[in-house]
Amino acid sequence: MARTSDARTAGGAAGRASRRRKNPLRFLALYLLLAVAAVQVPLAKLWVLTPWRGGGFGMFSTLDSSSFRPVRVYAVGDGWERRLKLPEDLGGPAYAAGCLPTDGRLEGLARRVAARLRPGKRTVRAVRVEVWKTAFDPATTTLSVRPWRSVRYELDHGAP
Amino acid sequence: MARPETREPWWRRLAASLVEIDSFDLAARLTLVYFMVRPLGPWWAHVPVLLMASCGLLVPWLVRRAGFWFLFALAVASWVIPAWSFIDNHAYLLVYWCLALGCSIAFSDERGETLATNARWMLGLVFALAVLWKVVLSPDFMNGHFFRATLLADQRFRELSLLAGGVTAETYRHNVALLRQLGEGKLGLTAVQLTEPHQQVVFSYVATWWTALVETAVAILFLLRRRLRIAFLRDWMLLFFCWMTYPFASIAGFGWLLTIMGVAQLEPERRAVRLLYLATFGFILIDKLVPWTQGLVALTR
Repeated sequence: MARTSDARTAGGAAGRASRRRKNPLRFLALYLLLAVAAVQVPLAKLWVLTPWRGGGFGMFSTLDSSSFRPVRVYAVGDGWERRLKLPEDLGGPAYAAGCLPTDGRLEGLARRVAARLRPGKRTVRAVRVEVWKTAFDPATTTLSVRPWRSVRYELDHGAP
Repeated sequence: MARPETREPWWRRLAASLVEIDSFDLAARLTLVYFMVRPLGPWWAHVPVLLMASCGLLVPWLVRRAGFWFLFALAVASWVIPAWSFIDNHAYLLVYWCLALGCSIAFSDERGETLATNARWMLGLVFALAVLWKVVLSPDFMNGHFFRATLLADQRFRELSLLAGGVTAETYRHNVALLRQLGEGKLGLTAVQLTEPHQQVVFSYVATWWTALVETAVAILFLLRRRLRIAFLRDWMLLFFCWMTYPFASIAGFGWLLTIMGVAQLEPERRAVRLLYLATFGFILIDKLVPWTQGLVALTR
């Protein structure tokens, strides 16, 4: 009887060990890597995410990186507009906006820029944030930029 | 009469000690060194990671606890998840790697072998994805435009441009000044014509094909079955990639992770290759601190 019990115990331990050896969770990190990459590819190809980011390992594969997506900010008034120097502490949000320039993210950046506007002679009606794209012409060795995405954030009563 | 004890030189004893460490333990300790030398995101991720890495180096049995590595994964993920769209890919890889270390202990009886399989597949998949982007999905890599524009405009590759592209310091400064004007966009400037020597054009095409071929080779070799005869080449190819890439590309974090995974998946009997991986880990560390490529540029001018 005791021998049977021992055999059962040994068999159970061996079974547990075998199950443990074959536990699919031991490769959880690999599944996660593949799942994230499977999401990143369509986000970058079909949406506005730069292929350099998002966990798909597309870095150093294309010029469509955040450094080639300059972000520009403008103060807009009645019949005039002026390009603003981006405050240093907004470098991070501007970089994030370049990597994934959704309307929400651009508007968030515009709102933060608006909050930092100093009083001036002219009334600012809106802040516009633009993300530009860079293109390379190999025939003439020319780098050119063009506006790509833009959001205008209206100030409620205008900022003096 | 007793013979005087023959003492081996220190470097030989050091090498002997390094090759005797269990593969799992070595990969785990290197990961802790990585956390110690590399600043990691915001304070809420950096502080716990630094404290845990210190504990792991002082108390070696901690590295064999699954929970320890899950905590690392959690801390790094707390940095990666909110920044998912703009954080570097190696931060993702760091989460996967810590998770692999934890899962190899928690869900397997043979942690070393399971970690080796995780590392091999992870390396293969990372390179396969890099090749997918470069060769298939990207519109401007295989035609050479990426390297041409990058060597002209990306200042991280300044030394490579000066050394291999045949660009003079004056031409480089001129290009940088034009790029600054383009960035400022004064007077509605939307295009600048840069000076590119013929040597740099040729080098860009060579670099394009070279990168595609080497990365494809690494991906295939790591995804091949381990028992195939040519599989041993994977380590040489990965080491070659590291030695060709990291002196010029300022992405040390990625290089360290690749070498740690290389160590983890290596057969224990291949001692010389292990030492080469460790030397590469050290080389990337030194390369980050010592501006030797700038020195090389100064010597060649």
